[in-house]
Amino acid sequence: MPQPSSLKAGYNFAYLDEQTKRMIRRAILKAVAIPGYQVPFGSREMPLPYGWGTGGIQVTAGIIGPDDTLKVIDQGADDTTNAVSIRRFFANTAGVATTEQTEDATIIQTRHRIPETPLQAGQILVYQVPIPEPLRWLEPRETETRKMHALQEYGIMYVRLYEDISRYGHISTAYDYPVMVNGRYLMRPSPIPKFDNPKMDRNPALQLFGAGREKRIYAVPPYTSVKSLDFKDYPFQVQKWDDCCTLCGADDSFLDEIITDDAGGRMFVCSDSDYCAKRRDAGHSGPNPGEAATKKIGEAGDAA
Amino acid sequence: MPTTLTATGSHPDLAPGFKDPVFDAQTQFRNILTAMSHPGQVVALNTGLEPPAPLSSAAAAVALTLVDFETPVWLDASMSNEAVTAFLRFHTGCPVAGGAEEARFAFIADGATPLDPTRFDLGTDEYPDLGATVVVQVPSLAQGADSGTEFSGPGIEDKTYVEIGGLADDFWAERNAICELFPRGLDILFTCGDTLCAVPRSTKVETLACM
Repeated sequence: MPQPSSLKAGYNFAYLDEQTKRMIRRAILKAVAIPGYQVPFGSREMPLPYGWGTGGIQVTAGIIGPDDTLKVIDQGADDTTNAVSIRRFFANTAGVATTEQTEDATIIQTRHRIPETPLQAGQILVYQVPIPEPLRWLEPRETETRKMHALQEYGIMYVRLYEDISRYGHISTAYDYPVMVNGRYLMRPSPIPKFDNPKMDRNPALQLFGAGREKRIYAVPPYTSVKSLDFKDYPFQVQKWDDCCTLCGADDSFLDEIITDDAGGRMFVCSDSDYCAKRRDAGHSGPNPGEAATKKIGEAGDAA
Repeated sequence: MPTTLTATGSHPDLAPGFKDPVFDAQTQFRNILTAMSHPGQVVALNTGLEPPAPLSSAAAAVALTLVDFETPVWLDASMSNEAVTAFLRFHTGCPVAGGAEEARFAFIADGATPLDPTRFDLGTDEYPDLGATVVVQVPSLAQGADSGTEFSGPGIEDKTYVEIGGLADDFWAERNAICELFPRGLDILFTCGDTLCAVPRSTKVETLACM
């Protein structure tokens, strides 16, 4: 048996036992065969708490092999606690190569973002999902939501979006924005910003979703239609910023707002750390960071 | 469990399974996942398996990768011989189902036999994932240029063509008839020797007129 040198002794390859992997693999194949449908699976206890990506880790453990290159992002960044520990987990238990470059990765596990760099055919994007059921906050009973999916009865979700419009004048959902997969299943895209929703549509990469606590796996095969719900007179729109990234000057990426002092100073930077670093390496730069940091929100800075 | 061991232990010609159960199963799963997420793509498995006839090496790889004690397996009449049963029982520990309707995985030795899809468990509207996976062995399987069977749907950029030999005349008519029941349905894996091609229930299939 080939044992890469970085492997921790005492664990099966990729941590999970073979029977668990087979069960997860069967669930993944059924999920791919029925795009957007949530397949129940026997989620195992993992060496980290629910909510830290146990579903995504189990899906990754089910598919990963020694030849894979793994990238893990948390809110777009490669260097946050969750991303670093999951990447280290698989380096230890599967001995795989890891990377921060989106285009070098064969498997990308993500929490709450889709990379800005377009994904390629053959790549697999694994989402960590907290609540897989899009109708859950509208109908708490699993028996009922299951029936609603069976009958494709999604009127209640349109009513919710309509109530947003009547109350706020627009659909206020900014993340975890419901989508229709292949014209059949209503799906929760996990808490990605709705900015990322259009990237899911007809993406050449395979998208897998794992919810550990809720014990569900679902999938969007490559080149599958993923439409964000909307109305003819209130079409789906993604958020836009007046600012660009302070570090790399990008005006086409998802920006995080960072508070820089207690006087209302703030700056915007790319949430995708790999994308931002690549742009800076290529010579792009944003407005003077010092200047941006002193920019005030309205008159907040003057308030005594 | 003791019965399984006794039955296979007394079988002198038991063919070996994967050389490395962990890594070979992972490799073959990724191949099957590639096939399932790109319907109509003919994938070479390089299994290194020599299973007992009439089980093809690709079909054997599917079984060794995905089947275990949780998944009753059904073998059609010509597949169901002692050697194949012993091979599957020993390497996977699967129960062999008495009837097609109990099977999670079904193995059909020859695509020329009628599919008769409704004899299998098609799942329910609430739990369509319970629909069976049916492995159908065919004498020839190749990527078509502009001929053969036209596939479209999720996983396919535009259209894919596959030349699948030796299928029963009304195979596609029967298969397409149950597509109306979506999300219930069957997911079919065609195998020929060491190659595999998937047709999940979401795929739209049209047979083109023969040249």
